Amino acid sequence: MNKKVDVIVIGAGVVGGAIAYYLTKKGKSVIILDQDEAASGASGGNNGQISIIDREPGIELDWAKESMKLYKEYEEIDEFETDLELTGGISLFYNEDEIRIGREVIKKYNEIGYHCEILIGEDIKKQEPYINTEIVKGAAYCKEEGKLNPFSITLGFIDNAVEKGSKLFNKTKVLDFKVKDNLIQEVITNKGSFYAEKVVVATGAWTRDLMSKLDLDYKIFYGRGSLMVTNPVEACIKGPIVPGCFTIGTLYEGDWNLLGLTQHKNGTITIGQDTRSFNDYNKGISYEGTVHLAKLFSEHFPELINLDIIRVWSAITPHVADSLPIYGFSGKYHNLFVAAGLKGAFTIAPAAGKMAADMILEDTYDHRVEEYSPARFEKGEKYEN
Amino acid sequence: MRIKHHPILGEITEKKIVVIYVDGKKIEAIEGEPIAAALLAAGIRIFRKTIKTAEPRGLYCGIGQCNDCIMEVNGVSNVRTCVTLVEDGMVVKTQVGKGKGGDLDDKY
Ligand SMILES: Cc1cc2nc3c(=O)[nH]c(=O)nc-3n(C[C@H](O)[C@H](O)[C@H](O)COP(=O)(O)OP(=O)(O)OC[C@H]3O[C@@H](n4cnc5c(N)ncnc54)[C@H](O)[C@@H]3O)c2cc1C
Repeated sequence: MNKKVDVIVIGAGVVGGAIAYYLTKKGKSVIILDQDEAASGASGGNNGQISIIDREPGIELDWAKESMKLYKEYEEIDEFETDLELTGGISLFYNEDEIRIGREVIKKYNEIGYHCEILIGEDIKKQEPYINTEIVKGAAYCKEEGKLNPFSITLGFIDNAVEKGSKLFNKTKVLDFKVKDNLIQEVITNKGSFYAEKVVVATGAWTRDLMSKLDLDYKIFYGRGSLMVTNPVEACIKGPIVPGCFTIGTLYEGDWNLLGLTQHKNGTITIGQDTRSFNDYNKGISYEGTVHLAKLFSEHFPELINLDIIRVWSAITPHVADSLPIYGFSGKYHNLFVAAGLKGAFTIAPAAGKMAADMILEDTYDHRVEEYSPARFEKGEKYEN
Repeated sequence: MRIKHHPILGEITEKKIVVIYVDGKKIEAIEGEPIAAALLAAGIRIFRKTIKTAEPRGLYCGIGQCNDCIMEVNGVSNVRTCVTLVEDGMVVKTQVGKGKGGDLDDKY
């Protein structure tokens, strides 16, 4: 029988990784379980962008600010590389209407100390010299945005936790739970049962399925997002680029194919994103979507059409019905902590993971995360997908 | 070196010989063969130098997957020479480090 530990973390993505890292730092015994392996989910398939102006002012931005400091710390104490670079980022606008709404949006951020401005026409080229300003009419620039290395960070958290005594079990899928007196007693996997005082669910897109084993119906769905990557080239794209509708609207559900990209420290450029809703976890890519993305890129960056696309992949990423994370202790199972559906998790995972570890161990409660509580989905209603 | 008698593919048939320039040196190649084949036939084994440590790399998978054989061809970098066919007068260069991003001078 597996020895009982302090905490089991289900899901070895950046969110589970950050939580396990901080729990381990606090001297707890931790087991991390992943159905596949570390960074095999969305954390190993994304664009590596730090996004600020698609977040509501509040705890998410506090987490973002703190996370940038924590990333620096990991590098300073030589734990792992983050490749964090605050290059400034832009959201692309294609018409006057979008620019007008963009102006309103950035006001909100400037008022609380961020440095944003609307760039028009040729001014956009000060940030991104290769962008085609015939198509892109304006952009919202935010100085505090940037990019990082999602693999290095996710694996950095997990490797560090493992080095300090935690255990990672790959290819170990949680299938069910045994419950008694509103406490999870046993976590049942394809490789036997595991036991812990507390259980953390950080299973991203897979959360709804897993929670159904506990007769809970969390309104968290998922889509499949595809990216392509080029061979390494010299620096030609400075910061993260996202579609403006991320900033001025709430475009996360449904199907879309819009240009967003990042050039990474190693010179490769990841180009996204074709997003489709699906009812299975198939990681295939769509031919039409891929061709359309390549076309979008070449229209936006006509001088860079010789770049060679060498891989295309997709990753499964969740979205919560009310667009808020599901983060906190379950109201029903007292030793169950959930951390899923954190949008653009790389901007906030260090601080959110640190706070989660505090909440889990000390049962402290920060009122700012009240609205994220999983209890909002535990009132008994069933939802249709 | 070229294989002239292949047990399965048979004898090499008459092919048009063209000229390509590799790092300024003129070499003969068979029109329509992969650039990498022409280089190997001419005894050239080093196609590029790696980004971080400038170590030599050449042909590896030979089927366009691994990107180890990339070179600069007619001014375009990151060209996979194992799946790009020779044309008369091609200018091929050893690629050192990353490929070219764009042509603007004032990058970051
Ligand atoms: C195309 C694309 C681009 C993106 N771009 C960005 C970006 O630029 N910046 C950014 O911050 N975010 C981006 N994101 C979102 C980001 O990837 C996610 O927010 C983040 O990775 C979520 O981390 P996670 O740990 O919650 O989930 P995941 O990384 O998906 O981790 C969940 C893990 O749980 C495991 N698991 C699931 N069920 C079980 C089970 N029953 N038993 C055991 N293990 C299980 C899975 O195998 C997986 O490893 C992007 C996403 C996509 C798809």
